[in-house]
Amino acid sequence: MNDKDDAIRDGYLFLSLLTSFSAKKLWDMIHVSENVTAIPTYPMSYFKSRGINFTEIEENQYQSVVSEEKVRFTKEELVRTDTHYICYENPLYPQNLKDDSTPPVGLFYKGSLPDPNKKKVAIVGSRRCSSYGRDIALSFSREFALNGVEVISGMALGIDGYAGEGALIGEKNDFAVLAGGVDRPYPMDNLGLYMELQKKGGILSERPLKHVPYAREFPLRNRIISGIADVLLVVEAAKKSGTQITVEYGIAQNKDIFAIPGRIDDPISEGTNTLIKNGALMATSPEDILERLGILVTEKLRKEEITFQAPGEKTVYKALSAEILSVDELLEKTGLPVSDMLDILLRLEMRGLVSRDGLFGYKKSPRK
Amino acid sequence: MFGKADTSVLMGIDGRKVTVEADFGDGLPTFEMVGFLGSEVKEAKERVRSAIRNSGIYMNPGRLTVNLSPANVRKQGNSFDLAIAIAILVAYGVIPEEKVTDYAFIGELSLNGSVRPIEGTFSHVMTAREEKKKGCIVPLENESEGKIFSDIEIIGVSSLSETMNYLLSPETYISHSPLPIVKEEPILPDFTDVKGQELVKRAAVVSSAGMHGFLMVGPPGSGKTLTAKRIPTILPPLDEKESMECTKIHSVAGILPPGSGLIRIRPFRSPHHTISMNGLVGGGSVPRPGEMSLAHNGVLFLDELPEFSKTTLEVMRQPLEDGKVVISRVQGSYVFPTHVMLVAAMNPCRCGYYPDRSRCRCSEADVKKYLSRISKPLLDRMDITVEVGRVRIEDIESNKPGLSSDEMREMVLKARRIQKERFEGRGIRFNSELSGKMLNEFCSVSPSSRMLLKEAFESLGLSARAHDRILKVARTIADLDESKDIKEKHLAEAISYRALDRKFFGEIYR
Repeated sequence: MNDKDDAIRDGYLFLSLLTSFSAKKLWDMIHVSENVTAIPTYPMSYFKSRGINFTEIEENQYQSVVSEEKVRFTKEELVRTDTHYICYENPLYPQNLKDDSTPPVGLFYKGSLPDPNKKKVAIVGSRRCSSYGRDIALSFSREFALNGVEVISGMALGIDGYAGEGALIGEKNDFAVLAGGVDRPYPMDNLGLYMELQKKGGILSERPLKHVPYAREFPLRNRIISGIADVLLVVEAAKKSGTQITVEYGIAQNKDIFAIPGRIDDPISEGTNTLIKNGALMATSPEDILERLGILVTEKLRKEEITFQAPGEKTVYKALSAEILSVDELLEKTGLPVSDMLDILLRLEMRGLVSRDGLFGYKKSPRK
Repeated sequence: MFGKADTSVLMGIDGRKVTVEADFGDGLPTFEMVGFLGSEVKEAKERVRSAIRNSGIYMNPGRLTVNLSPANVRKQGNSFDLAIAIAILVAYGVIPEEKVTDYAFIGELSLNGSVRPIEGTFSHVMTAREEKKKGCIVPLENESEGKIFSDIEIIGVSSLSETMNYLLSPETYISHSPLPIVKEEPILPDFTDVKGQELVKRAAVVSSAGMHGFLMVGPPGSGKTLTAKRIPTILPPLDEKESMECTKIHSVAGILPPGSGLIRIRPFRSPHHTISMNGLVGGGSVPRPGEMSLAHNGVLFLDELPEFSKTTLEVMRQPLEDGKVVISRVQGSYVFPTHVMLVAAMNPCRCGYYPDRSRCRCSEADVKKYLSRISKPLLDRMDITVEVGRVRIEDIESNKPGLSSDEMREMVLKARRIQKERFEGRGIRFNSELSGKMLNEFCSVSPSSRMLLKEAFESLGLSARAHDRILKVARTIADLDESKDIKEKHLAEAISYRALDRKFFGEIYR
């Protein structure tokens, strides 16, 4: 990076530190300036004379960023915490994001940035998902990562978290966008995922280090999730859910929207089913999305032949279905003794053939 | 003149000999009582004085001193009145000394001279036996409790005069026909009442066999209490020693039904979740047994586990660990036994109906939040967790009769016999008590089993804490299978029961 690029970068960094400014206002400021490099030197009157107004909070923040030399301080902190910053004009800035009407002027990140040569899927859904949603998020995400497709999510509870987890199997194919600073993992329940993401992909944010997010910044974060991606996949969403906001951004950004259908009597799928009714694409397998992205799936990755070791295993596996069954129902169906049943179920579960619902409910796992 | 009479004081659940001494002589009329007395004992002075007078005995004025020895043991309770009165009567020369030495006297006196019932007669009589007394004079209402012991004479009296008559001319005493000891077997609940729940029954057998903590999770009405109440029916019958312990504790608590004889059925206690600390482990200024002690040698059932306050649950930890609770007071320490089988029940979520989607909107995250209300160490003790009633009972149309209590008890006994042999002289009785060296000695696993454990830990996200507990349960399962070695399938079943350990509620696992 030469000095000229550095200066440009610093200009954007200055703007990124103005967290109480809306992205639109930042872009307005950029448009009325000769070049971004000069912005940190302008007094506020420069912008005011060109028709941009500021609130008192904004003015105070602007002054403090200038007087406290926050740009210099931030750069030192970035080095110290092994965090990076990439500005809008940098060729490595995710090009897809430029589809948004007010993209972030810059991104802070740990780990890596999404690869411009790879396809990307944003996976979103309800925080309070069912075991069906969980299994779909995990298995689809896995499949994407195994096929070299990057998965973007928000690392939230529920679908986001499972999507992030599933994609860890790939080679740097897993990314999460946070609403606060990248050094503030949220929620703490997914701390394990947060740690893994730094090695297996990256964590991105529009906001600087140490920034504590407030409510409004979460939907803003969602525009980045859908913005970076090529397509958006909604796994499970209720009628009035935060996921709808992400979908709206996706529509505005002209992304393809996929949704997974669910049971019509289950409110957790009301949102996704409605999306499909209103024109979203229906996905019933990861291939649906992979094909849309133009990725050929080799036959080998399709149905794996399942081998059983003990005779009871096959009987139990056949008795399972997509419906959730209790141990007693399985005992009824197979006539096996309880102790054998528990042994078999555990082994099938460890092999990933069976997934659990709650404490003792069982169903067939979606195909590996 | 000097007189004395023997009695006893209850320390915790056991009795200890107390001798009442009375000394009467010339001097200004005083009546002093000494001997490290609790305030309720000091009040005996008034009761005894009136009782004696109202029984027709004139007390000459003089200097009367009564001492309850030994003087370094605190006297508490209301059982000394009768002995004090007798000692005084001996000091007054109304009853000859030799007529009272063979007896122990217990009972409270009313002002009019009648003898009132007390608690803990069983323990008092036990003490009298230990002191080699020929007989024990007790309140009439407590007579049947004392008559549980056949090798000591029990004389039930209803008044001080009656006592005096007996002592002076025993041949005139008309023995009250003892209250009939309830001979008929009470109709016990049976596991055949629990239909179509083979998993729960299996889990009940495994928990009972090794005395492992047992937790049932399910919606209201799914049969959790039904099952818990039947667990005493599959535990081995009380042996003599256990029976005596239970009877003693119930007697001290004052809840031994009249005429019932020794307790023969394992206790079942189900304290409400609003119970106080004292109510649970015992205590009070005069320590009395709590629910845990009343459940000693039986089942302590905690229904609605998340509703118990964390402090209440915390206070249970040590007694569960040690099998006893030691309550310290200024006057000494009291030991109440608390060796119980812990059974608990709870709903899966706040609304109670997970995963019934027609009634419950809770997600797995909600279930996890609800479960995290229970203190971790207590959840840890729940070696065996099962879900109950996921399916409506009517939906199971099986004609197969389920296991009966007798059949289940047979299995439990089989495993108990193996444990008895194994732990002979080793200081513990059940697999659930294994730890450290003994755990390694009896729960060694083959290399392939070790691989299974490792895999399970990694893929299911089990915690290290669960490791030892799983081995103990596997040991019990192997015993039930009459297998000397712990095989993979025993481990697999044990792992399945640690459902709560799994980190699959939104946390990371691979």
